[in-house]
Amino acid sequence: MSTPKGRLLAWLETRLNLTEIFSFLSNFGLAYGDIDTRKPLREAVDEAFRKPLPSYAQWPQVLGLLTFGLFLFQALTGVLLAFYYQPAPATAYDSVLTIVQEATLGWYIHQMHYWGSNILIALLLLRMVRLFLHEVYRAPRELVWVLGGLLVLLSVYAGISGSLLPWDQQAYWSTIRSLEVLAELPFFGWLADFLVGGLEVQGLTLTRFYILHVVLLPLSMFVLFYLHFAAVRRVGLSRSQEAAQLRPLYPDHLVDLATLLFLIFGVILTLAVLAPAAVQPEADPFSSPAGIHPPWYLLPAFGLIEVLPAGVGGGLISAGLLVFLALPFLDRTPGRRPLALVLLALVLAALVWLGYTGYTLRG
Amino acid sequence: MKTIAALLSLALLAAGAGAQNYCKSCHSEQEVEFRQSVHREELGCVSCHGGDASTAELPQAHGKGFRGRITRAQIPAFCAECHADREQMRPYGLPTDQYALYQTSGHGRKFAQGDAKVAICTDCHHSHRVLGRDDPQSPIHRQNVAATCGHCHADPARMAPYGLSPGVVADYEAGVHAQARRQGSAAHLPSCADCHGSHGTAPPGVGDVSKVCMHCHRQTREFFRQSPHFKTLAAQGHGECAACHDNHRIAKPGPQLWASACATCHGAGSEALRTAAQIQELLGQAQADIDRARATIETARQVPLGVEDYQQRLATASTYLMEAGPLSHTLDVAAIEELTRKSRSVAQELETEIGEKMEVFAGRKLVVGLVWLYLLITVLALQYFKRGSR
Amino acid sequence: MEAQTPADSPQGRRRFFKGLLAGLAGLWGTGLLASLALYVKAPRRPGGSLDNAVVVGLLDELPPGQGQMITGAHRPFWLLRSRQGELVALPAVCTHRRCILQWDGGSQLLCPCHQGVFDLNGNVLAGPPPRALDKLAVTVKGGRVYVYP
Repeated sequence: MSTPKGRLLAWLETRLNLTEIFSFLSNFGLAYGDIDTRKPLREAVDEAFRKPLPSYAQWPQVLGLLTFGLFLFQALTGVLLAFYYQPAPATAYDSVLTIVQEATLGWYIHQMHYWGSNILIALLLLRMVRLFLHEVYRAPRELVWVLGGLLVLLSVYAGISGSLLPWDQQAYWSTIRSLEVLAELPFFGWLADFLVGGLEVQGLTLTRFYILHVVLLPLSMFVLFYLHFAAVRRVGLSRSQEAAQLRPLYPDHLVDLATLLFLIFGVILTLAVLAPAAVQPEADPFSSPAGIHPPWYLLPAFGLIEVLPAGVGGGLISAGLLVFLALPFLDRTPGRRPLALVLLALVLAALVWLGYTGYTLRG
Repeated sequence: MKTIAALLSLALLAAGAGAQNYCKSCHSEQEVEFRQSVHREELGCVSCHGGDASTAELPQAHGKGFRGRITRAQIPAFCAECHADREQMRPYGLPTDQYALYQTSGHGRKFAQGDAKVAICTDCHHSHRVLGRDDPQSPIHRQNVAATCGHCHADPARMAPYGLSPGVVADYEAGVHAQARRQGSAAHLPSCADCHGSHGTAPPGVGDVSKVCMHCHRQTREFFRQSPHFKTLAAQGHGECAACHDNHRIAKPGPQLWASACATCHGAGSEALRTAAQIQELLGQAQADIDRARATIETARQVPLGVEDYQQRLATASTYLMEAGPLSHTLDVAAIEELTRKSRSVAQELETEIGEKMEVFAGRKLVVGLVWLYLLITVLALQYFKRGSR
Repeated sequence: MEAQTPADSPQGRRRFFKGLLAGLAGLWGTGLLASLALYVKAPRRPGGSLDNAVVVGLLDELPPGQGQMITGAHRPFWLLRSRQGELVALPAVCTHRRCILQWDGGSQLLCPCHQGVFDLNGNVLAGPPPRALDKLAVTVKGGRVYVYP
């Protein structure tokens, strides 16, 4: 205790509840056991490190862990991109070119941010499918589902707003398609119109999309993650594990966490280099390129509104979203899994078919 | 005599304009056409046809000075009564040589021999619905000239008695001038009248059409005059430009023309054909180099590299090659080679520079490989650490 | 000798891996920090949105031996062309009390307020100015003169 570190800790302990600050980490899935904030820091950390805990790094819980890790990765790369990006139509494209052509490693950061967003949304969708399959929305886990669903919606909107920012032909025109989809939704359309300053893509759209993408959506997602973790901590993991499988936080879980983060970084870097997003010419509001479609996660919705008459498609999508979010309150009876599986298969097949239709109807 | 005719015309003019027009009660179709005509302000029905427009009742309507239908044989001289008179045409700024030119033309000469089937004024300008040259619906508007001439000149039945080919219009439409104009580029590209003349349409045998090409392709003809072909073709009575480029079906010239056109006169294995092959080789290689450089620039743009400078330099290379086209008419291989050499060196320089820059980006895959290597070592170390501490 | 932990005991292995991991982590950390630092340092190359170049005009409009004061940028500067055709751009603001400098048509910039004198490299030749002038970057692209103020 007479080491310099010990003396510093003691000095701080009398002025701050360090254990309380440490327990903040547990709210984000790091030291996720219960932490007694009345104990001094060293003791609390030791206890947290040694307590046997179930692993989040195994299938299928790893999906959740990966999505949060990816969110943090996106936040980091996003902040780095924001060091150069200028959110005005006149200079946005040039600033992106500066990032990818001149800033050291800028090309990598830009591509990894792009791939990270696609993988994040894909993982979120996978996670919702697996939560549905394993009925992880039954009482008392309704909020886990609802918060997760809201996170999917917010990350889709983050994807839409982010994909406008490069202000190239693909960005500009695919955002117009996306806004077409949003405009069809009865309430969300009005909300989008109100928030974004109209459903025409102009300078104000870019400014608002930027602030949404960089501040409002990340903050909202952060809050939702916090609540989501809080819900999981309160009700516990749905698949309980044998006592023999429980492992201490240090080193087992921390090592697994580090391994996962390294691997996901490697995967994103590989995708970025092998399949980079192509550089497009600058946005030209007076020239529509052929074959433009909204981002892949909006293709089913796009296909639906193209196939059905006006208004009907939008109503269906809104109804579908509400059912999706309110599922725990609609399906209260355990069992009837065969029916649920059939429904899931139908919904997935419909989404794939609609997505394909939306893709071929592009342009 | 001319003065009397002029006064008569003026009288008819006055008679026609401003008066109540009852002709249309029987001749409504012609009246509708005439309403669109450029003559509608100054002339009326009676100006040309005589009669009395103030009544619809026969025989007064067809009364004083009625000429009735003006026959085909009468038309050219009739139109010339006004249109060859300088005093009358002065307010409109119109030339007055049309009739004189017509009389020297192929059409006019046949007409003077009594053939009324050849083109006369109304065949191209229409009788009642005379539209100005700038009106897109006019048969003499630039875009419509080929169709107007084609009325007769694309009709085998009409052309057979004169021994003229009816395929000329189709040939022209397949040629590069017609194609470029259809694609919306310059309106200055020639139609039939630009080369053959409009009123004084002399058949190409009289005065070679090739002399007309140099109205636009002046530099090319200067080069051609420096070549041995100039004297030889003239001596043999062949057309200059049309000998290789054809007169109507003018194809886009390129290296391939050197392969096909020369063999029409020169024998296989001759020195001329060897020269042609040389020139073809030079032009073809330069074109290939430029195409390759263009593709490389596009690939570089995707990487992304800034390519504006390169695009400008490629434009320089293209310009050199474009200059080589007219110059090649001199058959001076050394001069052509100089231009193509410059063009190729710029294009090749571009490719080398871009290639060097691109090599930096090929290193990306290597970077990923190294990162994975380091990553796997770290992950393995982590896992061993985890296991080792149990 | 016995007090030392043998190298192939569990504790010894653990210490080895701990050391190895510390080394690897150190390399990852250094790599990350170095990458961030290199990325954040803004490139000073012309072109792109970081480029606040002022397009002064065509090179041919400034004959050798002549000079112009350009006032369009956020601070005025002198653009001078030597008799040999070389361009130099210097701020027109004195480093003493921020008066606007005048060009004598030759090789000196003069300050009318306290008679400071600068040469065409920005060095102070006479008078109270405490610091030299920083030359501004000039490039010519496609016949146009770009200055980075």
